[in-house]
Amino acid sequence: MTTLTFRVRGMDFSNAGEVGAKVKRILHQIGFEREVTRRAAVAAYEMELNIVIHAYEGEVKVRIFDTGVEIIAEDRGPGIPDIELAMQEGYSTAPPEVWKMGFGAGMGLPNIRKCSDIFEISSEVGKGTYVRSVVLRG
Amino acid sequence: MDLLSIINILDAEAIAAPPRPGLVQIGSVFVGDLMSDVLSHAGPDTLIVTALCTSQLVRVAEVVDAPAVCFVQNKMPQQSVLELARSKGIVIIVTPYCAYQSSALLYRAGLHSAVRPGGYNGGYLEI
Amino acid sequence: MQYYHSVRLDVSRCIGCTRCIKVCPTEAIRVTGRRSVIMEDRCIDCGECFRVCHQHAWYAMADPLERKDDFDISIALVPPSFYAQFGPEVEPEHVVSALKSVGFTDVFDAAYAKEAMTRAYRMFMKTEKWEAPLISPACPAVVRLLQVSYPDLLGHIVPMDSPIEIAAKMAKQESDAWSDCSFRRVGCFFITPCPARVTAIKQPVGGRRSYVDGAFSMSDIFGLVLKKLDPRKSEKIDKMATGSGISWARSGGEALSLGTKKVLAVDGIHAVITVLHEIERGKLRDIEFIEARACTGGCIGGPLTVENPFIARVRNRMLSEHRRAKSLAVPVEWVEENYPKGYFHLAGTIPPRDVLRMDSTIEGALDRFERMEALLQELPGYDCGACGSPTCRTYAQDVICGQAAEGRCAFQSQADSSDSGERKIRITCRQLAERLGFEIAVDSESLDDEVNGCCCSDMLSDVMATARRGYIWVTVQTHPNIVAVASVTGVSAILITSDRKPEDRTLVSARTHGVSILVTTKSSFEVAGRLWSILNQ
Repeated sequence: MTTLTFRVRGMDFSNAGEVGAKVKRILHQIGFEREVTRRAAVAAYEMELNIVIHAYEGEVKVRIFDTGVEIIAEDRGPGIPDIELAMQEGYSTAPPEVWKMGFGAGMGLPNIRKCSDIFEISSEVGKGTYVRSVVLRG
Repeated sequence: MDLLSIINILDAEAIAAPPRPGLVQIGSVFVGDLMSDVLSHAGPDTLIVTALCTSQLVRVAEVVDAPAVCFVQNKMPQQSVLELARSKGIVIIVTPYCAYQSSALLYRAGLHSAVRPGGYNGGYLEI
Repeated sequence: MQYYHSVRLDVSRCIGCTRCIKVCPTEAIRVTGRRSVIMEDRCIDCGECFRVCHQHAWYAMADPLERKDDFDISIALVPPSFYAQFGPEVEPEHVVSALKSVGFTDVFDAAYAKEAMTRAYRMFMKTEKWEAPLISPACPAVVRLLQVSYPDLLGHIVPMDSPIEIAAKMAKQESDAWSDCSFRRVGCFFITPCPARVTAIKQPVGGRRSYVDGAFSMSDIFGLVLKKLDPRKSEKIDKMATGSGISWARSGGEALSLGTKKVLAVDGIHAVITVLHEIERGKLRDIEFIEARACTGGCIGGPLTVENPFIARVRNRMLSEHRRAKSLAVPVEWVEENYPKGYFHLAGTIPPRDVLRMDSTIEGALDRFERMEALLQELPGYDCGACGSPTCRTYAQDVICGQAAEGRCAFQSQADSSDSGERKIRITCRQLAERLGFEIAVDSESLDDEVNGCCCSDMLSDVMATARRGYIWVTVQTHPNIVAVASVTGVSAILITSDRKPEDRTLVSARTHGVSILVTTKSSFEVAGRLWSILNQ
């Protein structure tokens, strides 16, 4: 098992997307099936961007097993008051300046769930959010 | 990696060996002195590095099809152990290094651990 | 799989200077034994090595001119970049005439096929399903770059043949129409500005044979044509492109020809990589088409061109402006008729090259990856290339995958040799635990002792004999007796490996005796290897 930890800073758009790209590259190197790699990379990417857009700072932890990938994002941020609402496609609270950059379409969380075999989310308003996604092989 | 390279790395001496040790291929290493551990982790490409030079060890190696055993710290087994190894076709080498240093040298040479990545139980993905 | 390469190394000229390893976009070159060595499966024939080599050790292999004599009819496929090699007074018609004097039976304007491609792209975008952004299939080095480094983006390439293949197809069909020669005896020869095109002709990505029968280096043929140029001799060809097709020679021309604003043109292989990286990061979904060229400036900047690319760019721009027309030379009806027949489509799919994988099994690759990360920690991160690998990361990967010997790092070995004998670093047990991710099960004062050695054994009697004060004891034993042994020998900590959990009685006893216990999921073998790497750095 390999653990990789990435620190992500809120509003740091110049580096946004690095985690997803790195995870993809590493999973390619390790030799995971392309579909598994794609799903894990998308999940990692969306989690990273959620932190960049909404939180002050956070961490994306990627654990790679021979049977699959587990990605955990934990942040210090405003939290999500209504998770059910946030899980709806197209619902977004991203500020307009983020839309202008092509992010914040309200597809992040639904996308992570779509890519995951196991998906967990919990959040505390005023504290932060925890998201866990597991992508399994075969 | 072939056994000759390993003998070189460990400054070892083969005391029970097939005619052409270069043909024996080693893919992983197990280091430890507990029989049950050897049984659960060593496999057909494993070199067992141990300080335990008894005949049980040779029998365990036979059960798991391990091709070779390395005794550390110049520990010389009894003649009967050697004879048993020869009859089973198991290679025995002896190194002057301790288990720690032997492991380090083999690890640096790029050999894998016989224990699968992720360890014994804790490495499994929790679902 | 065997790969054909047109970029080759003259070993006798190579001095192992490492200039080329730093510029190779796919990290395909290493220096071993003071010579460059190429990794065949990674090379994309872009020619970057060729450009930076002071020794002229790298060269491009094209066909000898005599090759055209093997055919009854030889047709020169002339790209618009070739016209840009000559002065402003030389028109394409002069070049056509000169090429015939050099010995070609006929000349076909490749820019004409590029205009057909423009129309075909438009039809593709209108009639088929595709994922934005599309990537142009025109540059063979870029297509190969995707195969090697960005396999996930292969689906973005427009699934069509390159314009040169289309040109050869058109030229051959033309010639079939007017002569009684069989298809085979008509030879098409491309005057290439780059080695990547030579490779694409010898080994097309789609799998089937190329329509082009040979490639001549632009720099080889330039001199011959220059000698035959005569201002009084010019010959018109009826399938001559307009300004739009001609502009494909320079960066931006292809993108512009599409007539939509949602296009992006990028040139220079390292710049191309930055854009591909952005696509991989999920950006650029608003862009419909990306024109990517490996050479700076576009094809006029190819390694086999003669003229300075900036001058060639002006020439090309002037020619294309001069020949600007309202509509493309290729009739729209012709494309509408042939496109549905699959005239433009690639025969097969473009397969990824599986070069990124570190091991044949997932388990092995994971193990290697972790070790690579560990070794990387010890390297200085200067990416100086002195070891023969382009970066510290590639060097670490090479070592772990058995492709490079350890100890080649100038900075690592300097640290070693500056001290006589074995140099050991000063590190406490607690720092070690943190660095290697050991969990602290029982924390006592001894964790802050400096570590001065290690004992790896599961036999208590052995440990009694060999362990000393300040050692770490690595074992899988978990019963309370280990505490007694630790306390007698004075080891700084017991490290329980292989994810064994110490028994409760052991923990209690350790606390009362002030013995520290660490726990890890890794095996004894691996732990010993890691500890050694750190303690004997």
